[in-house]
Amino acid sequence: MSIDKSKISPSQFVFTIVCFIESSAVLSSFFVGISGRDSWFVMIIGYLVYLPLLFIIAQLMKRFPEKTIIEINDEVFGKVFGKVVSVFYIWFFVTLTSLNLLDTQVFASSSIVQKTPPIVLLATFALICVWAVRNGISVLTRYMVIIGVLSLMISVLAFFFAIKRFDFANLLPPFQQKPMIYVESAHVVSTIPFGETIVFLMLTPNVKSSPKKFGKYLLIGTLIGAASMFVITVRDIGVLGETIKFFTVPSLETQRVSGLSRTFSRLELLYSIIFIALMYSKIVVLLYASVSAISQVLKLKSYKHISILITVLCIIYTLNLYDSGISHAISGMTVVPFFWSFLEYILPILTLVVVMFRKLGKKEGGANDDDIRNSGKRNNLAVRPSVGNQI
Amino acid sequence: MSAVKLVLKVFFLVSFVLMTLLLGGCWDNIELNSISIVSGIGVDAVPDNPRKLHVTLQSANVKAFSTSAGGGGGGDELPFILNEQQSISITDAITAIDRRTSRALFTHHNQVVIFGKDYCKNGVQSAIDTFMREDEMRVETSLVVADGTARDMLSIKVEPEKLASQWIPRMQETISFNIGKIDVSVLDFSSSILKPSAAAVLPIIKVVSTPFEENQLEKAVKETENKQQTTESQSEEGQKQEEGGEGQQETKKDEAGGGKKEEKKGGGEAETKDLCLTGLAVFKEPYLVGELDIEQIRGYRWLKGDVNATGLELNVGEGAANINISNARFKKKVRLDENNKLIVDFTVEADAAIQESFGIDDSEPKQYVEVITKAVNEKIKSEIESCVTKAKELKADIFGILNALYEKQPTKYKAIKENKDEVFASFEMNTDIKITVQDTGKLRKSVVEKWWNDEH
Amino acid sequence: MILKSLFKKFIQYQEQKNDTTPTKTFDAKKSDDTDDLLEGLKENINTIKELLGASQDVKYHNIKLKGINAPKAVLIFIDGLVNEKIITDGILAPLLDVEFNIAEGAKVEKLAQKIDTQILHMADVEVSTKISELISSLLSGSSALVIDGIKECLLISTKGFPTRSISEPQTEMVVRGPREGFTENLRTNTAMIRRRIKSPKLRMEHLTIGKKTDTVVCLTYIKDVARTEIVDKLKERLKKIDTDAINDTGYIEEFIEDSPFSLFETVGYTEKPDVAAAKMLEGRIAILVDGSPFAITVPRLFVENFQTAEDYYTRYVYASVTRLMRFVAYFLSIFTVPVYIALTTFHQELIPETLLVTIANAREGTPFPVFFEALIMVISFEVLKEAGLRLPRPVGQAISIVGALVMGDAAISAGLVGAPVVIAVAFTAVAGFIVPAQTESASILRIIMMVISAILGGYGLALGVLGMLIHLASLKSFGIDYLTTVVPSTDIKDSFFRTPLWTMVSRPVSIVGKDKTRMVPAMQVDNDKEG
Repeated sequence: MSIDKSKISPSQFVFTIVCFIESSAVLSSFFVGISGRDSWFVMIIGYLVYLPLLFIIAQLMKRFPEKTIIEINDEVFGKVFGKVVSVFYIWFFVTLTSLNLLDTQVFASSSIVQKTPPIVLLATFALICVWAVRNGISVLTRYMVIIGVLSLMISVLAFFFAIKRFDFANLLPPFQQKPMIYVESAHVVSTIPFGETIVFLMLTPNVKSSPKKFGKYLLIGTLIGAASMFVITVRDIGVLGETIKFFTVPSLETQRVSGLSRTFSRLELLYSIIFIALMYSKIVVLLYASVSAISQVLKLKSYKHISILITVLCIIYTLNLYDSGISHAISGMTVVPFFWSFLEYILPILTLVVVMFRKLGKKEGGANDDDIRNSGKRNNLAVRPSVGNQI
Repeated sequence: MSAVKLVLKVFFLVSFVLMTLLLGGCWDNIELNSISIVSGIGVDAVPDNPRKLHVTLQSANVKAFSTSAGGGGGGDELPFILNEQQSISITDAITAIDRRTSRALFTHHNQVVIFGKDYCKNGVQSAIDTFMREDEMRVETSLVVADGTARDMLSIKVEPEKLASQWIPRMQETISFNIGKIDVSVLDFSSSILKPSAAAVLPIIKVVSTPFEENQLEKAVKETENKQQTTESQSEEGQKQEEGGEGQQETKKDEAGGGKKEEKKGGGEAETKDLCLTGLAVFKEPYLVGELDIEQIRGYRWLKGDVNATGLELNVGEGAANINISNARFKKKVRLDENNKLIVDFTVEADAAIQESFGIDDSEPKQYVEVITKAVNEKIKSEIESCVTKAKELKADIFGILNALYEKQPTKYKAIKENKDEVFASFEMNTDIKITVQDTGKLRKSVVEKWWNDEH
Repeated sequence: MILKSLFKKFIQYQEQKNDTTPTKTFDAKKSDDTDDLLEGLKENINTIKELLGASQDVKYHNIKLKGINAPKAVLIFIDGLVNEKIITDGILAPLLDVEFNIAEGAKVEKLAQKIDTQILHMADVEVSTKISELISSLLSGSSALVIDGIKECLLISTKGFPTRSISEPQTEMVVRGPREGFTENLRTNTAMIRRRIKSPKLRMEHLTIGKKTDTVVCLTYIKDVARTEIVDKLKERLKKIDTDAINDTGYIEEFIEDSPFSLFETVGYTEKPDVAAAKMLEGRIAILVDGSPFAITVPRLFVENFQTAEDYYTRYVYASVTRLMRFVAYFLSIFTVPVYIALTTFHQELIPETLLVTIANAREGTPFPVFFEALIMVISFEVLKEAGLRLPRPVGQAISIVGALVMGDAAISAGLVGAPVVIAVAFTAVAGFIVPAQTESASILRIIMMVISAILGGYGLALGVLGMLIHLASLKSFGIDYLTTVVPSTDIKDSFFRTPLWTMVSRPVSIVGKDKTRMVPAMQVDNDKEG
């Protein structure tokens, strides 16, 4: 019973996940600043810590293939308490949208256009995103494959450009720091890039595939994203060495420093393009999730009416989140992971526990009330001409 | 909603958006003819005031670079504009200079940062912080040290680049294989001093007077007759001639790039002077502690493992030879023995090709090759040792030995961390040099053997 | 209010949209009730004369048939539209030869049919009872035979108006491939298509649209290859058109297209029958209009802008290269000038130093900011282009020289614009011509992007690109996404490049109906297997 009925293909889904995670790769200072030289190791640990959550998400998707997380909450926790839980998620999505908008604006302000007032940057970017969201999810995700593949290619290309300055010795010696640093950093990694994939529970009904395969798609998507993040982190450490802890945007510095020759030296152009494309893809998914979640909770017929309203509220929220860049950075390293752990790990675990306890949702091959109720509705979808969508 | 309302809404919405964007002004719009492109920054120490800096900015005077008929040749005009200011920090100086120029200073294209020698002695920390932090300064800009003041270096007109700040990066790109590339960026410098070795090197550049007007050769002959210089300089000259370079000779050692210039305290007239790389400045943490001269530069490069190909001149008994080394491979092993003494095992393997051979007995090829090989090995060893001695004297680990120890055996490093300077100053080096002579050029034997021992 | 008066027209339009007054009556009918022919010849002729007026080219030829009690008849035709020889040989000669012997007072049943099947030497004859049909046929070139005493008339096709002969189309020149082009005559055009697709499944459905022009519009498609939903949707949209005139297929295009406010065309056109036939074989529907040499094809995807007929007649390697080049050139022609503006005004740090110094040098002394320079050059280029189209050919050469010299060289020497801007605009202009179908959208997009990049620099440009891409992604052409083959799918074989013909086993999946495969797979010559 979701609001937007268009379907996207599995490859688009996978690459949406890839873009999502990669966008955190290019803004890596929040964990690289803590663990410095050993960030590559921390990243692997963070990913392993995330895997149980991936399993939980896949299970939820498998059991409720036609429902978004809001609807799942309603069903699992009952009407009242389900709404309360949904409100948490809504807060989460909206805050995520605003934080990412803030990241984009800060980056653009500091390196691309310095003097433009932040609201202009925010408003224009948000307007483009809302335009995409209003056009529906198939338009949103149409370019994800291209953006994902392009950004992977550019990361690899940038690696080759940086080889001249890459010094493997910068990665040595490993494991010299206090153990607490590794734990802290791994915590950040598992919540900020990877944990945010819980957003994809809002997209479940729109993916054209059998429920069993969701886990596979999630795994492939996150694996590709994690691999590219690994490559980028290793490259940055190799090039920047000890100084990596001090930079605010390490990947940008790597790109600035590397270059083929004097003519081809200004490679941060590539980085900026990829950055904007990736942030667009992330924000657009988050915005869609927020708007869709709110309209589901309020039981609206279509989410298009409130989309602009929500976007404007997000912009205002963004401008008021932090009073300075420093508090943003520190909060990202220390405060945010704990908030996110609650929302991304504890809530879904609770949900799954209740689901398994009450034996809800569709199991493999078995039908339940939802199925029977929905089967009539499902036939209606055939009336729409099934043209124009990807295989 | 009625048609009127719809139209009005759309109209106001669109006009508000457009007005905000258009009337508010394109905030970041910088027209090209309103900026002054800074290509070189010089930082000197102010003599009496250790906290202040003397900052010099060199910008390109665009008109002098015009290629079309309309722009004029700029023969009389200086191709650059200098702006100077004494201030506490670099950014402060730039802000002050803003009052004195009609154009906005655009530092994004800064090519090189020149530190005056005196400034380096006091420590370059403030400059390093500015360059790493400030967004407009790029971290890959090269750093050099001026033998003298940076200001003097920036105020001369050099050929063919016209600006010193463009000459220096070009030279670093194209420097011949004898010296090898010594291009240290701000990032490299910071990285080096943060690591356990805590030492870095920067090239020293000196302003020298132009060669062509004087007869260098005559002058050189006169000077050797007068001064009885060391044999080193003679072999330097010999090698210089062989290289077929510009033929600009002076008694001072020079090997790379353009000619030499003597510092002329001229009355601001832009004489054609030249710049020359004269050595390496050794930094221990951000303080300048000493210099390596040309000879020692090569020793340094051997130890760093940066030499791919180079030429060597040898004195073999009464004769001389010139060897071309290529395909060099290095192995460095660092370890601590029981007494916490640092031992470095260093192996060099390379191929040599004989470019010139004069006065060495080559009747027996095998023996000939042995003699040459022995001479090469000795020469390299002596170069390395001279550099090592100097580094030990300065107690600056410019070779990254402590780094290597830390990387492979961090616990052992921690043990000696407290007195790493002393440990470094007394480290022992075992060098093993294996050069194989592959190639003797076109000749198997010297054509001019007959006249080797002729005295004229 | 001032605003209200300014927008009065627009407001009126909005209000009229909701108006549902019935349309005016069809011109050829006098009124709804009296459309039938009467028995009396005089009354019929009077009705017809009233409807047609006193036009001199309408000829009324009185015939007195031979025989006892033979009725009188009038042959009506419009001079210039008919072939007089056919009338003489095929109608008058046999008609006046036969003896009509009719008994006194007897009602002559089926006289019209008898004349039609037994007497006339004409192949295309229709019997009709309606005056409106008589008038329509008359105006299309038929001759009408009205006979006294019967309520039917004979409409005999005697078309003989002059038409342009088949020639090479000016807008789609090819080096290799057929050189026929459609003409203004609908029948010739349909014949050309029939000659290329000799399948019995080829359907030609005719509609008449346009109250005053009465234009015949022909819908051509191949049954089972074209999707029935698209055909139905198209017919529905065509039937909704209620207008005075259809002068050209361009009129129909604007009435049926999916996104009327978008810059990008969702309906394609072509002047060559082989192109139209090829498109129909992929599942599209072609619409031909009498009086226009351009056929429009529906649905149209974004890739079709970059596909030309020649791509399929030359080998795939070079065809792929040229097609890639077209893609690149299209985007270059839109973005070169905006990127130049963005780089030189906002992001000078991205330009290598020596180039920057050269450009800065060129900018010294020019009075306008870069954006205005570029705007001036782009607009003067558009003016030149338009002028070049309208000028008679002999004068055209002179104007092009003047344009080049004045706009380019003199402007630079006078210091009005800088050389790099002129180069950028010149390159843009030339690149724009590689994709002729999109020059309109490219010009407008270019100016929009220029404005955006002048305001917000590279960031604005990135957002502009995103906006354009989002818009492209949301366009649909008759239910099919505009970007179907560009974004990866199985149809990519024919998008950025063209894979060899023997790989294109199936028709484009997104458009085609039931008949999906074109050929047997893997038909290329394999020397090893041939033995």
